[in-house]
Amino acid sequence: MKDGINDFFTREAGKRLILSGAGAAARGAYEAGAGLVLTYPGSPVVETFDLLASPESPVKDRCAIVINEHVAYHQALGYSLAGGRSFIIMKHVGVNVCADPMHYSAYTGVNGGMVILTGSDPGANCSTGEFDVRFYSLHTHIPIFEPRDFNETVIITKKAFEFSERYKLPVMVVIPSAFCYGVGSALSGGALDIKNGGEFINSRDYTNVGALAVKRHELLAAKIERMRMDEEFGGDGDRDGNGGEKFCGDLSGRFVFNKGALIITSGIYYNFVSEALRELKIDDLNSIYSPALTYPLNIPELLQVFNSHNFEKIIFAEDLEGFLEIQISSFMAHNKINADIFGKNKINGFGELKYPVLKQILSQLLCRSGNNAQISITEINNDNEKDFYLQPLPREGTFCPGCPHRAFFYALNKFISEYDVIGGDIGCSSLPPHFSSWLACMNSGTSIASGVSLSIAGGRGGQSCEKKQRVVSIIGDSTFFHSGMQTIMQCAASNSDQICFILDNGWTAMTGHQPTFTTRPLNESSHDGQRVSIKKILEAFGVKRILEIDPFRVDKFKALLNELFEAKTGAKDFTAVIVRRECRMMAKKREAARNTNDGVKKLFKTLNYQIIKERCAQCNECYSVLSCPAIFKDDGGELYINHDICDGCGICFQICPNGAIAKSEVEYGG
Amino acid sequence: MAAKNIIITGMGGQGVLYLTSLMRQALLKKYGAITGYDNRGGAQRLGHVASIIRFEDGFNDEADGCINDGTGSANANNAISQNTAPQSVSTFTRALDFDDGACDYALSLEASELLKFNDKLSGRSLIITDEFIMAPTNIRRADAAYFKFSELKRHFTQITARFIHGDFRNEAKRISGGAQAANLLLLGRFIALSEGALELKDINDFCDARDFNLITRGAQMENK
Repeated sequence: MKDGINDFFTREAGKRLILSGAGAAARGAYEAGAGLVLTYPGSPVVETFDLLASPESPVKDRCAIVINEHVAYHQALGYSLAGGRSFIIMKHVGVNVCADPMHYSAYTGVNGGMVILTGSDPGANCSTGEFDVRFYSLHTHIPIFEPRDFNETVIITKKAFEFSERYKLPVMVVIPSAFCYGVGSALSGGALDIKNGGEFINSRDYTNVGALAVKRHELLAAKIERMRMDEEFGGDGDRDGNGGEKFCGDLSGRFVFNKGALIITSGIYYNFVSEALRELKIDDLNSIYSPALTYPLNIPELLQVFNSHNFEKIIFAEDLEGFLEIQISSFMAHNKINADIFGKNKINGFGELKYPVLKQILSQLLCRSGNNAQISITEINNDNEKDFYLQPLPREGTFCPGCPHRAFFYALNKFISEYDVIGGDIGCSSLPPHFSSWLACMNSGTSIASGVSLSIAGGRGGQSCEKKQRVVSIIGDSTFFHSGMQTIMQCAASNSDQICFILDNGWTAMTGHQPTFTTRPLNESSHDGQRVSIKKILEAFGVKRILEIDPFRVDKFKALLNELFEAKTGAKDFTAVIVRRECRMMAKKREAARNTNDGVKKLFKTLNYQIIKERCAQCNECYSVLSCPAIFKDDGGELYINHDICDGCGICFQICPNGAIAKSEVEYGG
Repeated sequence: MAAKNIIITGMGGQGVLYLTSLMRQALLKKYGAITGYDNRGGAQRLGHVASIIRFEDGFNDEADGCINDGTGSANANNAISQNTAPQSVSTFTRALDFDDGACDYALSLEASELLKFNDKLSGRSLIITDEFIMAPTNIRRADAAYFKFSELKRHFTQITARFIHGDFRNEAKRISGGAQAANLLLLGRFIALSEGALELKDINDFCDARDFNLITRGAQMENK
């Protein structure tokens, strides 16, 4: 790409930028002069942080990856209380991690603008799960904005800081994964100077106990009520100059008034609804309302919408749980507004709302009378699929060629059975093939704690079990620091009967290789963060048995596992095994950095592996059991190594029972 | 002109996102309005990756208000004073996603990945795919059969008469020494077959000379 990131940080207004949704939020925070940018890496909003922390960024020194979202939230809150503008970036499950400070920060309030960017993930396209993160606002009372497009994301993120300062509340901006990874154009606004934190002035407002907490709650309710009645929203504008849209403020919703039915939506679904109505040729017969502030809903804006016409049919076009439907149905009931409501009784409350599904629902509700059948996303897909000759087969996510996790799971699988229990966590190590019939892929390393109770129920107690269930827990190095440490400390304290494998690949690999506390710098100028020894932490926690192993030494690793699992029949000590081998993608970058550091290209030697067909018994140990993606099967069923994909890790060479894989040394570079 | 819809798919590590990035920049410059989204998965290789690009002609004209400074006079080059937020950037109110059967161009760097978009394909679709197929690891573990290219060819030619395929990976290896450039050859093939939707000159501003040369070589490949 010739045009690079430099334009992204222009201070000029009016320049056209190509931005992802995640990038548009970054641009908004930059324009707002955010003085502190914090994150714990999480798709789909990784790019937001990466842009602001990039070498070209004027605010890169203000950016930090923090141990977890809970700590990040506290840091951001402190900066904001001291008057600075803080910006926290997290995925929807990260909100669970910082839920505690989120609640009380609404009570204490903020001083400098504090904005939380949350990437939601309807359809769980890049997450371990989906849920409607917007519902947090109903009990935290933190306002939520949902921008509808790239340009609006820049504007709203910027304005959210002002809004936060006006109401002295943290503000959340929610953008879904499809939009985060979407790309479109936006205009730059002018960039403000960085708003730094200043002197912290102590106040009883920040104390939140007993009667003071109740008082703060009362004041928060009053604040929310003022927000609901804020007359800056709505208005009689004509923002697009075509007479169709009635509201004019930067933070106002969109109201396209054409009588007919009223379709209520928010965020990116505004454009879905607009286009669907146009395609159905009923866009001039129906109205659309899409609030930008989806909690609390603005009453003057709602009154303008509902006073404009006696809508007989209200359709809520939103994914997941029906956040707008619940709020606006309540508003309608309080204001004695009667209409037929179609929402979660028509659109599933799970999965991503796809355009063809939405269009079909609108068609049924608005183009055909009397058809009130529930529409299932699955049914629609199935109807279409049966017309085709071939149906797609699922492609599981898998480890990269040369990934140390593949070697680890290959060896582990030799020693566990389907009867045993493996608990996993979030990250690369949660990917298939995990070689187990059950893997509790839960966020934040909770499976280790679950292992404590499971080992009591099935393993140590075992009265109700036919035989002993062995309990194995697995956690990556990033999650170890994020939230695994407490559970491991508890395991050590209770001497839980389980083996905990800590897969230390030195990076937060799944989200794009952010450094962790075990990361070695790639070169002198890269990551210079503090390095921490997992082993020393485990020792300090009182873990009695700590082992370290390289998964690429397959025989040695298997011998260790043999010893561990055999010994488990008698021993009860909690055992932690640090499985250490750097993420292969980053190890290669390290090699490349070494290669070019002195500006002279060097000659390197590497190992090349090849399957000797005459020796291969087609046992499929490398192809099916190891599941190495570089090994292919030709039309005749013979196996071969695709050298475009092979990483040269040599695990296949080590495990082949027939000695059918040969290695040779090749030179490259120079 | 109605919106044109492109699907680009393949697996992590094949260069889908770079290809998409080049096309998005070129299409935005040429047409003035694009939208769409990516399905990127995690950072690791060989998972499903897909991009959607939607573009529409007519938005690069000042009168059409691609860049609207909020004063009612649309002007793409109208600099707005410092610290004044623009009111709107575009009247391109298209959804990120598009309707079933409405795909105009489908580019697939791994032939079987395009099956995931069966619903989006139709007789209007120009499909260009690499003949490369990679069986998923879950299929391998189950010791199950996976698609052969001849089956996929039959499938896609049932959908559209405009089905083009090529051994782009091996051709890339032959030309550049590495299979990684298959994406650029495939882009070149698309440019040659897109009937002007995108031209070589459109892409030149956004890639270096080596990549442009490979795209040009792709444009010169023969159809299969």
